[in-house]
Amino acid sequence: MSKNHSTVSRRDFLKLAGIGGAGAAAAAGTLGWAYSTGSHAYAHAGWENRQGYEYFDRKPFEVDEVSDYNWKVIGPDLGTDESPGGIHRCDNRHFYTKRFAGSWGFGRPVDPNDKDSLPDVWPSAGVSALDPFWREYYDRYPMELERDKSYKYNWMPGHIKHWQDTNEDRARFNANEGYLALLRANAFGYVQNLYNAVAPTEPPEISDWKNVNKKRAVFNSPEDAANLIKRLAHDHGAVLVRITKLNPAWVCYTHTKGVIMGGGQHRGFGWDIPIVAPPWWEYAIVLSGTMNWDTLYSDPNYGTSSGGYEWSAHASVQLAKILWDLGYPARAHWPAQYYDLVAPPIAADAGLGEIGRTSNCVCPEFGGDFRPAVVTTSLPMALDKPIDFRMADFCRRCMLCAEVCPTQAISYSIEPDYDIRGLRRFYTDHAKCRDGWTLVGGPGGCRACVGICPWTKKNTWTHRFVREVLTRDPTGITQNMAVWAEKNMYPKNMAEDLLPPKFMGVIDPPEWIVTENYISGFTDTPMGVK
Amino acid sequence: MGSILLYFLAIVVGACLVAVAIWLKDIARARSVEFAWWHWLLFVIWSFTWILAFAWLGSQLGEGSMEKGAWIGFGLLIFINLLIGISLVMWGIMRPQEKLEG
Repeated sequence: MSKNHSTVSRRDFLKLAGIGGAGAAAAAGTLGWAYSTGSHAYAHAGWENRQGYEYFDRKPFEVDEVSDYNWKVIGPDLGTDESPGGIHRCDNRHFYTKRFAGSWGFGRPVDPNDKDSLPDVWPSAGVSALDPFWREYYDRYPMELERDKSYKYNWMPGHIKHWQDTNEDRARFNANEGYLALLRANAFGYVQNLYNAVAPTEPPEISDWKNVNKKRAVFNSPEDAANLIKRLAHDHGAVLVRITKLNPAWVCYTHTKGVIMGGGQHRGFGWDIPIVAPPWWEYAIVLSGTMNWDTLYSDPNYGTSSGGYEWSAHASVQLAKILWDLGYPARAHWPAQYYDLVAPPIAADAGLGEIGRTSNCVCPEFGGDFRPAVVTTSLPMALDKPIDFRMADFCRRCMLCAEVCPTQAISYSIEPDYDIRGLRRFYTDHAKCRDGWTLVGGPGGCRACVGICPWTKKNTWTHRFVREVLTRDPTGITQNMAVWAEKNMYPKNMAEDLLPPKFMGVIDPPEWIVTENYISGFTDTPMGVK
Repeated sequence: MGSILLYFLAIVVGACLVAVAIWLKDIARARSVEFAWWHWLLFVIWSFTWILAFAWLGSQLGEGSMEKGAWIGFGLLIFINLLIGISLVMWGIMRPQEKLEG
C-alpha cells in the first residue's frame, strides 16, 4: 500500500482484486461442496450404515438405566407373571382394536364376533353392567374407562362422520396426486406379505430350534460374538444394531384374534393363552431399517412405513437364520406386526434411543425414522447400555409432534403423567392416532409426528453439528435456539392442513413422487393384448 | 470423492485466509498500525462466518426441503460477517484519525 497516495495504486488494486477473487472462489467452492453433500445419496442416511458405520457415537451418552422420562415403574406388582418387576405385560385388551373393533378402519370390523368393550349406549347401571371380561379390565385400569367413554361416545361419532364426508376427497386424491405414492407403497407391501411364509407358526420349542445346526460355533468372547452379529446385521440391511438382555416384562401376555400383534397369527402360542418366554430368549438383538427421508417429510399423504418395515423384516429374518446356522436357537420379531413382544422399550433398553412423547423410540441420528425388529436368542453377547442424549430436555421444549398431530392424539404434558400398566409414561391415544390414518390419503398411515420431529434429520454436516451441540449442552440455550429455529425458519404444514380436502404433506413432497410430473391420464388397459 | 473434495477445498480456503491475513498485516505495517489480539480474533470470526454462510446455504439447499431456513441462516451469517467486516474497516478509518487528532 503506497503511503502518500490517496488513490489506490495498480499493485494494491491487483492485490485487492486477487484477494476478493480468492474469497469469492472459496465461497463458491464451499457452496458447491456443501450442496453436493447435502443432496448426496449418503445424506439419506442408512446406506453407509450397511457397511457397519454408525455416525453418532453413543458411548459418551451411555447410562446404566433408562431414564424416568422414558418410563417409570410404579406398579402395583400383580404377584403373577403378568407383571415381572411391576411392569404389566401387554394384555391384548390394551390394544384399542380389541376394545373398539370398528376403529381399525371404518366398515372393516376385525372380528364380527368381537364385542366392543363399551356398549353403544352407556348403561345406567355403570361398570357393573359391562361384560365381565371388560369389567375386570376397567376395574384394574379405571383411568382407561373415562378415556374410553370419552373416545366412544364423544369422539368417534364425529370422526366417523368426518371420514364419511371426505370419502370422495380421498378417492380423488388417491386417483390423482397420491397415485404414485400409493403405487409405491403397495409394491413395498406386496413383498412384505411374502414374510408370512417365514413367520413362525409353531411354539418356540419347535420353531426356534428346528433349523438349528447340530454343530455350535464357539466364540472367542461375548464381545467377538456381538461384533460379528452386529456386522452381519448391518450387512443384511440393518442401519442400527444394539444388544440387550431381554426384560421379560416386554413380552406380550397373550396373542389374540383381532389384534394386530402377531400379524393375524398366534405364532405358535395359541389364542389368548399366556405366552411363556422360553429361557433361550435371553438376549435381544434390536435392529432397524429406515424409511425414505423425503417421502417421510411429506407425510401423512405421500410416505409409507413399509419401506422401513421391509428392511427390518428381512434383516431380522436373515439374522435368525444366521444364528440357527451358528448353532443357536433364535426367533425374529419384525414389523409391521410379527411380534411376540413390544419393541420400542427393548430398543430403549439397548440404547438405540429414548422413548419420547409419541411413545415411540427416538434415535439421536434417525429420530423417529426407525422401525425396530428384535431377534431373541441365547448366544452370549456383550451388552450395550441405554443412552441419555438430552432428548427429554428437548422434548419438554419442543412439542412439535403434539402440535402437528391431525387427531391430537399426543400428550402436551411437560412430564410423563399417565399411569398405566404399572408404568408412568406419556399418554398417547393410539385409537385416535389410528383414526387419523383413516382420514389421510395416499398409502395410509400417518407418521406426521415422525416427519416433523427435529431429531428426524438427514446426515448432513449442519444436522450432525447441531446434533452434537444439542446432546452436549447442559444449559439448554442451544436447545431453545434449535426449537425456535425449527418452528420459525422451517415452515411446515400442520394438523388440519394434512387432512382432506387439502391432503398436504408436513413438507411438500419431492418432485419424483408427484404424479402429474410423469402421467398425463389413464385409459382402459387392453388386458391380454399387449 | 467427497472427502478429497473437502481436503482440496480446505486447502483453497486456508490459502485464501492466509493471503488475506498477510495483506492485512501489510496494510498495518504500511500505516504503522498495530493489530491487537482481538482484531485477529474478529478476523478469524469474520473468515469463519464467511465460509460458514456458504456451507450452510449449500448444505440446506442441497437437502431440497429447507429452502427458507437455508436463506434465513445464510442471511444471518452474512449479516454477522458484514457487521464484523464493517467494524474492522471502521476501526481502520477511525484509528488514523485518532492519531492525527492526538
